[in-house]
Amino acid sequence: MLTRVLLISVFTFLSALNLFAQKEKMQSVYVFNFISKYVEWPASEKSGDFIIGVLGNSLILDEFRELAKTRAVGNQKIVATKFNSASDISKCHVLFIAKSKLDEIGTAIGKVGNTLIITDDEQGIKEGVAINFLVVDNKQRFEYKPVSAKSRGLIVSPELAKIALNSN
Amino acid sequence: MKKSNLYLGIIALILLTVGVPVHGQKATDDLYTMSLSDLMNIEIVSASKKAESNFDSPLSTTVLTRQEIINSGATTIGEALRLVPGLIVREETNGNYDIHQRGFDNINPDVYLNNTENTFSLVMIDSRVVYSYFQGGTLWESMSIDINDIERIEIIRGPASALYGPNAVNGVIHIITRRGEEKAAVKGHFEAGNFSVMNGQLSVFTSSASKLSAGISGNYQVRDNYSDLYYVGRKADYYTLAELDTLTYTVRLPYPPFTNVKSKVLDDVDKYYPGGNKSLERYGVNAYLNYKPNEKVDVDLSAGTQNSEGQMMTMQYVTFPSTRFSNTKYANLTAKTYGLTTHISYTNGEQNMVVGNPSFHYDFRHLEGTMEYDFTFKSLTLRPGVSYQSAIYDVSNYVSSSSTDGYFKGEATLNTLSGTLRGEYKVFSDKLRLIAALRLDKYNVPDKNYFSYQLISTFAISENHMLRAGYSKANRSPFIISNYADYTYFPPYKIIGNQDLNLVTQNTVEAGIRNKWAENFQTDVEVFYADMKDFETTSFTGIPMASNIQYVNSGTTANQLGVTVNAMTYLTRDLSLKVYGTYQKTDMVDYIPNFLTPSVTDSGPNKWTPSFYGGMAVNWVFIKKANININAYYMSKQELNTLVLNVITAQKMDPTMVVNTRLSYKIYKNNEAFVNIRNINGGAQFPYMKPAELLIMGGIRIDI
Repeated sequence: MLTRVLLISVFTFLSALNLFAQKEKMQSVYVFNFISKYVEWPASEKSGDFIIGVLGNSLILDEFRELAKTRAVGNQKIVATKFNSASDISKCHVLFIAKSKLDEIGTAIGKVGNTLIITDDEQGIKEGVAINFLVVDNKQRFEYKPVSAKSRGLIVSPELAKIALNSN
Repeated sequence: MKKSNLYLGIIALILLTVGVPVHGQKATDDLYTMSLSDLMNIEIVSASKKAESNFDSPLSTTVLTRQEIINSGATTIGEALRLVPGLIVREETNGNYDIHQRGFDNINPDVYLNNTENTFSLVMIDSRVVYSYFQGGTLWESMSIDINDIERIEIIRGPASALYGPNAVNGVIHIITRRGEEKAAVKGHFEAGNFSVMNGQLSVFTSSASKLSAGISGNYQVRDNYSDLYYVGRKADYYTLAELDTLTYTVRLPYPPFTNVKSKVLDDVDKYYPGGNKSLERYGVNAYLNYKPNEKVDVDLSAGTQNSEGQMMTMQYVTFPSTRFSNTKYANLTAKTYGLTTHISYTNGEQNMVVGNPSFHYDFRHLEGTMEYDFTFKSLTLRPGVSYQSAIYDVSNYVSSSSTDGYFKGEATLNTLSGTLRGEYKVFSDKLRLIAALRLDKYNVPDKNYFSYQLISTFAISENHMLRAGYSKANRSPFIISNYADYTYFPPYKIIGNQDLNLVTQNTVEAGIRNKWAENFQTDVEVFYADMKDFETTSFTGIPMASNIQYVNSGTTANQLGVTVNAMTYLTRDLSLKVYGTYQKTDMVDYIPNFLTPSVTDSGPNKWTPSFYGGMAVNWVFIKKANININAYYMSKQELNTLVLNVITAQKMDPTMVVNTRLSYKIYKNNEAFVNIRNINGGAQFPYMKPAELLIMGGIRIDI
């Protein structure tokens, strides 16, 4: 029996390189909901590609790339791109800041324009991002700060505030 | 098992990654079409989430989620606990389980098998202690809830008395029940199979979105034994119930005139086995009300009732398994108002450990109340609390005070008043966390104070690597029979209680490391060393002729060194795997092999806790809407020492591996049809009991 366990273990260990994370998938679906149903960008941003940027290392980038294969925002094709540091950030519609880059949040906010900024850490909402993901009772939830979205020139449906865990 | 194989296995486990249940594992396309409100109802208990919720836990903790239990096909809570590292789970009869954490049982073999019961785990449902103080332990079949009621099970391995109260010696098993979702819902499942298995469970919830929400649930299970044979100790052989009806034996009276007497083994079989060959029949009804006017107030009131009859090895009484009966009610209130948490629960009912024998038949009432308040000063959090617990057991409805029957006389009470203080301090940017929990319990019997504590620290080496270490002291509570026994065992022999016993105490040092190697790959390793003292045994006292058998503390100590490894992974988005195992060694020093000769002691390994136990589970969504789960549980060989005809006999059990599988297909939304196959290979898991047989069940699961 244990020999079999060993074989399966080795197989598993190798297979673990095919990374997949359930949480990131859920978050990417949430983001797709936000951008397709709740948030409206200024007219100037409604042409060309719809760019989702990820600052730092996060498996959510893979999920955004998967999303980009099958979905669009209106007529805009989704493009997922990675920024290694805040100084690399270029124009994007959505910016997801990975946990490892939270210390660059200030620089990141200064680099973007009409951008929906999202984090996955409670620190985010305090520092001016519009959406922060958190998990409550094993379910994906989010906090929403309307003023942070408005200051970026985004028009957000008031329905979003009703669904968010905190919105003030 | 060869040792080299064992080490290979352990290395394999360390390398491995654990699987997690496939939560919300809808095809991505389905998810994209869902609204945010619907998405919020999907659980995302992924490896990474588990890591986040458990990763920072200072204790050795595992959370078993509802979806993981459903996917596994577990049909009882006992079976579900096989999915958790650190638990030893033996099926005694169809649907009835003997469940242990880490071990320390069967240290001083006794005339009864009650010293094989797990008295060292504190089991709770929604913070309500479900523990029998009659002889210690948890009557799993007597829970009012079943699988469909469970939201998750939190398992803590290792002593946690200071945090949770007495009896959390080897750990805590805390079952959290399900509450409503955003929309009103109906959840349930129905399944049936061979051995007359029928299992139906249904819950109805109002929407939890309003301030006041409610739910009601019901469950019913019935099963036949795997075999129609019952063991008769006096004959050292198996018989059917029909044969038992007329079976006689010859006994030599142990007192004058010392003649041989012929007697029936059971005076009336129907009295002892009212359910015939049914191994389990149980039902439960539960309801709750939840009031949550704002984020800082949450009041939850639940109540329920249950009735159960299960055939198991509670005691080695004449024929086994014997029937255990329980009929109870409870009310449970938890109120969180600002920083104050108040918990009050009341449980009462009637139980009989050996149906047909009035000596183990009693009414009981349990009352517990706890209040705790959170103070926070910058990086320091303090949580002082007080608690009171009362357990009253009464045999007067079943035996008269003048009768020689009744394990004790009239009403017996165990009270505990406790003060607790938990402090937590974070330093170095929260990387180092220090926790101290202190608890003082004052018992009415023994009239002693017991101090338990837990000192724990965690250190985050990085975001993905967490070290933890702890030192703790925990004790078991007193029990009714060891304190109040007054039982005529065999004239003139009496078993009498002792209200001056020291409580069993354990000291443990433990260290662990959790590593999140990747978002989908996590391992958790813990090493523990524990020593235990003040075990109970029985000894001859009294003059003349040493006619009393009294509960006493033995000078025995026992120590255990072990390692538990747990690994989990998602291989792909639709395929998860988890593997876990514990390797341990328990040594006994100065144990008493035979209570008839208490001055003769011995030392050596305890073989009742298997040296290796663990399991694995694979879950695969192999086509859209179809899910297959294969899980296996393994225990190495075991030996139970038990007294048979005044001689200690080692009942040897071969290594056992139980394999189960469940295949489901979603017919409409989340409503599914399934086939559930249990015990694909499984041997006998408890001495004297017949092997678990292949169970094939089919059913539907409702999710509206």
